[in-house]
Amino acid sequence: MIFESVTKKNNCNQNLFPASNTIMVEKDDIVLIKKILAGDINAFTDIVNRYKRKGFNLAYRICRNRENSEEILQDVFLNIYLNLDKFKFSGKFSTWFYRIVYNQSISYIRKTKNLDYSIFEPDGSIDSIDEEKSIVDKLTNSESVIYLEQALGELIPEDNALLHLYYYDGRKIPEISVITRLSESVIKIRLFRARKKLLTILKRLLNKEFIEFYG
Amino acid sequence: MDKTEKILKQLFKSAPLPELNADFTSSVVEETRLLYKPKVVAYKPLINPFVLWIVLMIPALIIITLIIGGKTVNIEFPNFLTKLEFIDSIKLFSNNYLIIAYSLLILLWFYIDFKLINYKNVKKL
Repeated sequence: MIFESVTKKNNCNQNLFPASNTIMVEKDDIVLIKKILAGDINAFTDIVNRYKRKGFNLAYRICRNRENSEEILQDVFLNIYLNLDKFKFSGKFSTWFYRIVYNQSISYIRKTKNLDYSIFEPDGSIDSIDEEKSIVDKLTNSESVIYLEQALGELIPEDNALLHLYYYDGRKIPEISVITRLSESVIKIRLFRARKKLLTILKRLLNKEFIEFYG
Repeated sequence: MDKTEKILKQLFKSAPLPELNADFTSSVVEETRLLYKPKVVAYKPLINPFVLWIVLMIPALIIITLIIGGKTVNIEFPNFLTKLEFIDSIKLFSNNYLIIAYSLLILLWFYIDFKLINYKNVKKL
């Protein structure tokens, strides 16, 4: 399976010394921020290189447009540069960064699109655990990756962001709570619902594929 | 972690996401450079300028009064002032000495004030 091999490779790189690695990154971030505050613009280049990909992925999941996501990210970095003196060293820089990306992307979506949330309600929800299991089994096929993007496009941007932060970035619920400013219980409920919606849409897409393939 | 969670994690991680422009970093840094203004260390006086002015003006007024009183006009000093020894000694000096002494006092004041500026509060960006 394509994605399994990719994931294994990623996990190998990430899980060598995960805890110490995170602490190192945080320390490096603080050193870089102090340098930027002292007027070193080269340190800012390092911060951009370190966080551009993560920020872009989150912005893209919310906006679902490459150009707009890039524009948002550019504004995010400029805002960070101008307001870096407001950063509290007691927290993690990555959380602060994600919060700015999240807020800017959501406000961009709200400004540009008049979202009708009713259109995001999928038909035919999954009711039983067995049904969920059968969908999950189908998802192990390499082709299901293609349908994920399509399914995410049918979810609301906030749910997309939550799913991305939780499943893609592996952020913990308390951290997502800081990023989104939602309570932990609300996040748990929304994640549960978003996951259910996602699986429902995937079920529909996979069934459609099955019907198209076998007539 | 249940199977669904695991599969979804794998699915999310393997889903392709578009690439950023290759020159993204350089364009952001370039734009930031345009925003960047050389740091100007603002002079933050240790003492409120108004207070400083008052404090400087008090000895100035006393000295001016003494010069006038000692040199040109015979001012009757109040008893408590004439009793002090330093008044008599000041009267003996010429105007120039007093002006130099006063200038030195002001310079010393500014030197102390500059030395003790709290640079921590000066914004770096």
